[in-house]
Amino acid sequence: MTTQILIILAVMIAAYVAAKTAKLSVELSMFASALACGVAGAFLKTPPIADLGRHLVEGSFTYLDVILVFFTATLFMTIVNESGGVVYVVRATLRVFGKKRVLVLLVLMVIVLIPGALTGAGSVSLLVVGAPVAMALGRLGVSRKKVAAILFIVAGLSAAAPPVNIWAMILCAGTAIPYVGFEFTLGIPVLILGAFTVLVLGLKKDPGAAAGPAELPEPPKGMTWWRVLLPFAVFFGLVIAYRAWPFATPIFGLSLEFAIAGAVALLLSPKKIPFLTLARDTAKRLLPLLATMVVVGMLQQIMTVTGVRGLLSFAVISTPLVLLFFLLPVIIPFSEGILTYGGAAIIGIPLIWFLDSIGFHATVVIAGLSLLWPLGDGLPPTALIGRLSNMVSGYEGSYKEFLKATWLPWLVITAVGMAMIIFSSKLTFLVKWSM
Amino acid sequence: MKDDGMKREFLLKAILAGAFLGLVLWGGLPLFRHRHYDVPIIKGPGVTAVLRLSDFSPRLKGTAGDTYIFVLQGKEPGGKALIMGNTHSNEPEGMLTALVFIENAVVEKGTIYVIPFFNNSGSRNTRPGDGYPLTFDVPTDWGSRRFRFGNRDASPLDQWPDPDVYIHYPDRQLLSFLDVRNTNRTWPGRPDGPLMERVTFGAMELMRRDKIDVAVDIHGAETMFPVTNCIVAPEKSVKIATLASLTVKAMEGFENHVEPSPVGFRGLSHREIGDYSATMPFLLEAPIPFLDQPTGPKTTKFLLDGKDPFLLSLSKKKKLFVPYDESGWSLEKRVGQNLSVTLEIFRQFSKKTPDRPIVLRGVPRYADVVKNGVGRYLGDPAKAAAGGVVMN
Amino acid sequence: MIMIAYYVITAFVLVLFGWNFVREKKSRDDLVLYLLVMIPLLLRLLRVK
Ligand SMILES: [Zn+2]
Repeated sequence: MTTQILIILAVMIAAYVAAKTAKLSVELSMFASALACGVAGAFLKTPPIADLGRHLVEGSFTYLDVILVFFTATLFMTIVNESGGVVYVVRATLRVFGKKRVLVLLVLMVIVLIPGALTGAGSVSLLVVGAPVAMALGRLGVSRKKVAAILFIVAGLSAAAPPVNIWAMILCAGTAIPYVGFEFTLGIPVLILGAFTVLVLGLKKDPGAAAGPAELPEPPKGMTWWRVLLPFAVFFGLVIAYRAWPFATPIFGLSLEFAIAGAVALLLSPKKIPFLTLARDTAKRLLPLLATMVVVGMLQQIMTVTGVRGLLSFAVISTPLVLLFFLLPVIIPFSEGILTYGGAAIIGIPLIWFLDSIGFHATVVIAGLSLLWPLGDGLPPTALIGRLSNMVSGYEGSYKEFLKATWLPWLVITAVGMAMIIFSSKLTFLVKWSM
Repeated sequence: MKDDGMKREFLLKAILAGAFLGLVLWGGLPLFRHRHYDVPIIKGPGVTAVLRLSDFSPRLKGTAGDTYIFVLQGKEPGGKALIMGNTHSNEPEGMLTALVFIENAVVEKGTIYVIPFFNNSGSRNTRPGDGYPLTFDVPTDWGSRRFRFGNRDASPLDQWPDPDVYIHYPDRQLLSFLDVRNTNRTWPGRPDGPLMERVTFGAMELMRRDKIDVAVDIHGAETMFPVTNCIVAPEKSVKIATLASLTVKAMEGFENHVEPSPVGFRGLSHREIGDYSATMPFLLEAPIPFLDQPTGPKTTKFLLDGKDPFLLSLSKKKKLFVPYDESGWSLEKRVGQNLSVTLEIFRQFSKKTPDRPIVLRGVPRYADVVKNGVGRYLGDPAKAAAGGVVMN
Repeated sequence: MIMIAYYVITAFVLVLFGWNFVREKKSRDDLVLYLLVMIPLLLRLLRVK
């Protein structure tokens, strides 16, 4: 069976390479790769060829809710931006904090951390506050490349930050370990690593680098604080209301919360906004990202039904422990890059069971692992958060250069995450503090 | 010239749109049929009434959360028990165990309630990304019976959207957003909460109103999952669980250890049923290799025989939590052990509380099912008496 | 109520992508991607999955 699956895997990779060589986009190449994988599998009736359509279509649903969140959140922020709210906020922030650079950087970091911490999605951080923070950093003389790097790393940390960490939740749900005890276990490393990142990448001005617009555009007449803040207040109000009164508040879900906030922003805008045009542009701008989500879902399903996914999972679990510790810093981010959250299920769940059974402390291990996973959101083929952070920071240079700019925080985060995994039994005090 | 370009563009778009519609139909139709396929359930000789869960949780009425409750009332009074299958609809041994009870059991003392599709919505849902089969056939003496293979969580068509994080009622523990559709996290539920909370609330009400003594919630769990091949029991049920476990080991020769129900982990049946009613809960886990991550292709054959080369190799490296060899872990073994353990729990309960006995006959035990197959105990719906079949 | 809102959002996004598909002039790749994204949106709207 192993040989057969290896052949299917080879066909899958070959199809990707061939499609890429034929100058197809990343998304289409992945689609081609999923198709080829399914057809190769069909020779062995895994899946039967008649089921192939169903598997592709079913797989396309894997991230439907995430797609809707991305769309509504981006539309919301586009409206705020169009109404002049972003410019208004950035001008004010820089006016208030003025010259205290370290303080501004830390405040900006916390601003990026909050939405992702509350929702578990770094993308929400970027979509909601990414653009204004990027502009503020630009005004501080940080180059666009470094702005993108800061946003990427801090947004990743925000996703890992408590109270909501989706990787940890998937792992807890899959391993029957209660999702408790993560507040300090994750909170302390996230704050330290976040501060480290913004200071390392943002403390020095980049002379000569594109330091953002020399003069910020004037906000439109009639723009006021409450016009900017009210839509955000509505959004956070809805998120927090459910936390505060979970049994009296209906479940709105993130998409509707963003849609409502967007409607408020639309009503409060001091100038008229061409809503439909804006929505169509948003759809166009998000196309590669949303198509990636759809195609990754399909690919994941096809990989499972052909046994490729099982083989990969098997390979990881069969690796000897010491070797595994050396490989994890590579395997974990790449599993995220290829499968997004799927990686946590495929590799994470069996790994946690295994480590737990030989005396590691599961909660700390999960926390450590979930620092590594967000790094993978910058890796191809999906590179969701990496691409988003490039998008909101307006960085248009090479993606490789952007990744290179993240090397130091990347390395330190990896070291901290691995230390938490390897020395988990010595770090249980973090869990105890949290309870 | 310009006309030509437009024509070509139109043609390209028409072809692509056609391919799109083709794929949508090719993939969509089987999914639609899966959701609307009804499983026939034969009312066995012991069935005395068929109720709906909405009788106990009125706001389930007319929703996909509503489901059938089969009542098997004995001639003599006694204790009362509830059996639930398909709490997780991708763990079909629970549902099949429940069907074997419905179609075969004759209760002599006491009453048994059986809910074969506890998460009915989940049983009409599929799991994107995991490549499961849509249905599976269990061979019988007269042909085969076809069942839906569902998902762990309810369908978003019935409960949408999910929150960003699920806050458990009433303990406020934070659970994954997915768990708002997981009927083994929404216990004890609310009459007007999200649909799956209304489902568990219905079962809680049934247990409280009809004074049910014993509740058995039947699952399957991965072989790499530490809590597998066991009976999960809280403090109040642990004595009976231990006796049942020891007895099946001694008398029937299979392992099924007892796991204590953790107090800190909310929303599970083995926790909340005990805490919010007088009922003693038991959660049964039989190993289902099909659900493990490191396995070959997810075929129906693998679902039924539980044989996988990767798991075999991992077993030799001592990475599984159950014994595993070339014989796999078949559906017969899984259903058989669920049946024996359930019967043994009833027997131990009756011994401990002689004024509330639960006595029944007609239900096969482990050795019977391993020898004869599950299908031997499933009837032919075509031959059932008029009105003798319930479609679920 | 809230569920209806989600079908409205889904329909809205579906229409936007369909519209963009019809209007797209340049990229053939994008044409395919528009359709791929529309698959789950359309089938959810039709209450198939
Ligand atoms: Zn289960």
